[in-house]
Amino acid sequence: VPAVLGTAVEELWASSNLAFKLCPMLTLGASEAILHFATPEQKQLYLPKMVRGEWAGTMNLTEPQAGSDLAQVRTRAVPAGPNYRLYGQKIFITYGEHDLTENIVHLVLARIDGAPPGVRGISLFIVPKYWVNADGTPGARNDVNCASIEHKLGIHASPTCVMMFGENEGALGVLVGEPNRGLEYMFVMMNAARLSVGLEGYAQGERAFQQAVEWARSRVQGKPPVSLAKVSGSASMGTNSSPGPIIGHPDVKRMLLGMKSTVEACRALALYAAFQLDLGGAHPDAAVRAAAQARGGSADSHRQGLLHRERHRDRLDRHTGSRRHGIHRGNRRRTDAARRAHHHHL
Amino acid sequence: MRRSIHWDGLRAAADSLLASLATAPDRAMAVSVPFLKLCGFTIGGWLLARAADIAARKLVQGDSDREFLEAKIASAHFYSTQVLAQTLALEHTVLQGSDAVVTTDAALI
Repeated sequence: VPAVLGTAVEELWASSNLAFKLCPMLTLGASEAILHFATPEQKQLYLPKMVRGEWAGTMNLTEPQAGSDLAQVRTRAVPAGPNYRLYGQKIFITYGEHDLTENIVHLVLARIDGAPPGVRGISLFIVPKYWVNADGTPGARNDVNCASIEHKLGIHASPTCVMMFGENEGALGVLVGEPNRGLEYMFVMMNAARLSVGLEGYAQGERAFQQAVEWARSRVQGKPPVSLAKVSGSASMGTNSSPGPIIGHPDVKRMLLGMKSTVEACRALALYAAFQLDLGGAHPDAAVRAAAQARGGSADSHRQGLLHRERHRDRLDRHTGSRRHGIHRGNRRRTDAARRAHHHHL
Repeated sequence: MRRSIHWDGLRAAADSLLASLATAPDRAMAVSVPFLKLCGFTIGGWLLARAADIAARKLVQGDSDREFLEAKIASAHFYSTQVLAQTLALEHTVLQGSDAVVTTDAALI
């Protein structure tokens, strides 16, 4: 699906039920990482069911001591035949555990024993809730469990979990791509999620606006200082002497127009960015692709920027270049009415 | 004409931010969010103006979806006078706001 269409559809999900929408969002991110970096066999094993929504996916990055600073990741991966056994704790894991799908494909950052310290020693693993046999049939329940549900300010219908890996025999995991390149791979998921999180801001704004405008049209209160005829279309309310719906009051109108135009501006920005992504990734003309990528339509530019964020040059890029910030603005610009319910960790 | 105020403001703010990044990244970080807001308002205004422009042309051509197109123009009209004006304040903040953050001792907060 083109990003521009996906972005429009995702907005509808996010306006309707933000808590539910996070599940396909994380699945999409996990699918992207597998699509880009896993072997053909791994793709065949996981992707069809994830894309069909039969299996969900998660991103397991954060640990109690390692949030924005993933160099501090401590979860261990011990070689076990062709696979690995993982041991450690992850926090803030969106949709870490649930029974909405037959299986959950956890993508997990961990450090293989003997790996170099810092971000250069982090690898990415697939740890399915139920092991997947080579022929695609489900295997044993894996040693990965939800220890508790995090207490958030809102979106309580989205289970944000503390996940324990390897409390018993060790969580069986499959290495994705090459060892020690996990952070790079993970940012593919992160970047997919960034777009999705950004649009949540104006999706919630749209929801708040729809509720506000409906209320303002139906709530009759006070006598607006101008004729209501233009507003209500109802002759019976068109006199200055009788109360009218509050949408006729100039300041209420102003607030509604503010919500509406701001949501429209945010939406235009997100769709513009999505369109550049599509052009940058798929346009047959290389010059058009390059121009769109220069406008931010490249997943790669974000990954590189994040990987080297300690560098001055990239700090500069983050401030000047990218659609990422434009999208994130959506969250900053949510109306107060919509802000109340939205606070979560990826 | 009116558009150039906002673009010029964004450019002045970007130049100022780039200059501080080279020598004093803390000063740049202190006004980074106002700068992002400035980008957002300006780009939002640009895109709504584009939408209104297209809507106006379609109306002239007799497009049947009049209500939708007129609403696009109304949004852009409102945004340009009631929302976009914030770029002027944000430009000022980006240009002048670093000192108040950087020179304040965290213990005073």
